[in-house]
Amino acid sequence: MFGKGRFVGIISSIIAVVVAILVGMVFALISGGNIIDTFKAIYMGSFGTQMGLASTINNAVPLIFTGLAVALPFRAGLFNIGGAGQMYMGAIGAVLIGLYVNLPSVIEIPLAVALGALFGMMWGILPGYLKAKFGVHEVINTIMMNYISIYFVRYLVSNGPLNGVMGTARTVVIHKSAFFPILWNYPIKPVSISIVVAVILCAFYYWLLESTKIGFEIKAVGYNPKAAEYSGISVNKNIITAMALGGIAAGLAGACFTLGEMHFVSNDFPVEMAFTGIAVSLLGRNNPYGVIPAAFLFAALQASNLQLQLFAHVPKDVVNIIQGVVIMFVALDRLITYLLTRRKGGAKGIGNT
Amino acid sequence: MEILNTTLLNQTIVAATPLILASLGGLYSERTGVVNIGLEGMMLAGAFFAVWGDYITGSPWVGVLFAVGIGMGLGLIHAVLTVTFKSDHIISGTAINIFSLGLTGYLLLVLFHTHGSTREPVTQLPYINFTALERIPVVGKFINEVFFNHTPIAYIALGLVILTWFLIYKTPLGLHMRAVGEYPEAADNMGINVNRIKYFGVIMSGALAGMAGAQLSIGVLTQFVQGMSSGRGFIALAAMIFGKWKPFGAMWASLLFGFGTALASNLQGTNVAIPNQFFLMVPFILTMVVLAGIVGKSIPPAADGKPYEKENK
Repeated sequence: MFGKGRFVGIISSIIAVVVAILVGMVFALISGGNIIDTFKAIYMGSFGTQMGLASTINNAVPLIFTGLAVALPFRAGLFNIGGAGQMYMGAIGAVLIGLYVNLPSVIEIPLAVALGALFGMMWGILPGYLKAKFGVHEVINTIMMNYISIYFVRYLVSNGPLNGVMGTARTVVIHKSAFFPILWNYPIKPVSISIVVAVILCAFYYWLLESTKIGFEIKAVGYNPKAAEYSGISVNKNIITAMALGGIAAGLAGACFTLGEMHFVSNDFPVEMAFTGIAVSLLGRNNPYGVIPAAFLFAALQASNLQLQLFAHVPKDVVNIIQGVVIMFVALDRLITYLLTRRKGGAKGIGNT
Repeated sequence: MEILNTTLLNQTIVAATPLILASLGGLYSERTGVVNIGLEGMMLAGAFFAVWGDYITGSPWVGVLFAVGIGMGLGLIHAVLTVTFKSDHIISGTAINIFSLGLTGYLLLVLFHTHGSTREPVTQLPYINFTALERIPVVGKFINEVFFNHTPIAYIALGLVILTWFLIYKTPLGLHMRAVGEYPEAADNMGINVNRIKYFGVIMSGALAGMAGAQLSIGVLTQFVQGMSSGRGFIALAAMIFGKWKPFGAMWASLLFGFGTALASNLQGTNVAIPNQFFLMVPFILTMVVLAGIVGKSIPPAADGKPYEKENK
């Protein structure tokens, strides 16, 4: 289980993080922060206080889901940048049940979660289908569908049927029976069972990839589509399956965020979590368990945003810069692998699209 | 309800101009075999640096230069990652998009001390008018209202379409670019420096995307707004594919997308019973429909998106 390839992978992820944080530090210094205050702000804002810890956990949940939304398709050689749209649709699925169905929690919550997953899945399947049927690159279509869903949700909650209060762009609060149970009742930032759902999905996807025929076929297609096709594996079918699995994960991100934290859907739903999911997945080596530490890392950085701006005078956009640099260095995978193993062809490059 | 009027056609050109530039940018890159989905981020960075250059010097042309410069810089990063280190093109492009988002937000705060957008308007690029034309009976007014009242960037974009066509099909450099994009092994054997040609393509790509960004921020507006490229880099990529990796094809496709955008914003003002968000979706739906219908028939450069390694003989 802990082969040389995986070891090299973990090392190069750590290198990517260290370099990215160093680059982030340079930007922090330029804008007038100092190193000690910056680290102190990050620590206090993320793990050092109960408030910080609660925000870190809450931030990590959607990132685990959106990381999985990128990771699963990636194993089939697909790049799902549509997490934002799929997440949005998942939130709509969940909120529909939460608003219009009023049943005991044991029935209502699973129903809302399932409809969210279904909506996300449909939003993921379409670009998969267009790729399989017409050969259109999934990157372009998933991005187009992000914009379409953003406008669609904006319509639904502002001048459409889901608008809750005239003049605002949000729904009303969902029924109490659809609220996720609370695990840790920290005031302002209660931690719900979302985190458990997220970790269960990681375990399920890991099992799916490593122990089932579905996972084997997905990986075969990602590794070498031509060889997979020759050995009787349908590339098209697996493209759609992988995108469906990705869509489900993103849909759950939206559903869990709605049922566990916000309890309504509004115009400014935090779609940027989906883009952070790209960095999370790549940093976690597209491994369902790898996304957990990666998600916590970015969640901690985000949780310390406020402290960074208030006490260290570092703009929160530095976190985005760090993410960009992390992805750049993960993309430099082959160079790092080469430097670590000192021989050519030591490890496979990530997802040759 | 007068929908088809000179304003609509004029706005078509306004909306198409950044798309033409960025799709040409995509073409330079992909013709040499490098996929560039970082166009979006390069455009966004270009939009910011145009405002900054304009702000500190008072000259919009310095702004354009700044925009082209940052575009080239980001192009260089993309080239180093994909050509020299043979990284995945899509991942590298995504990194550039996210990095640009962070960089522009960061600089907005550090250089302008604001969030969301710059407050003080900067000097806009001049608009070229030709009122003398209106004296020509019947068509004169039409020509002036549709084809003039644009920034010089619109005409530069048209000039670059022609220039790019000439470069790619009529010059030795263009031949080398096509050879590298189609069959890098053969190009290498002919003595062409494959990596140098790829660097040229990707950096040109960034320059054009940067200029497209300048048109958005100091051509159409007089300020930078966070995330103002809003998907245009990706639409430009679709236009390039729809235009079959050809300069004039990319231009016509950009004009079609521009028309879709102009139509959407024109319909918004009228009392059609359809909510305006649906019109805003039009360019994106159009892109998907067009790509589904066309891609089977248009063929990218054979070695597009593939790293070239010398030792793989």
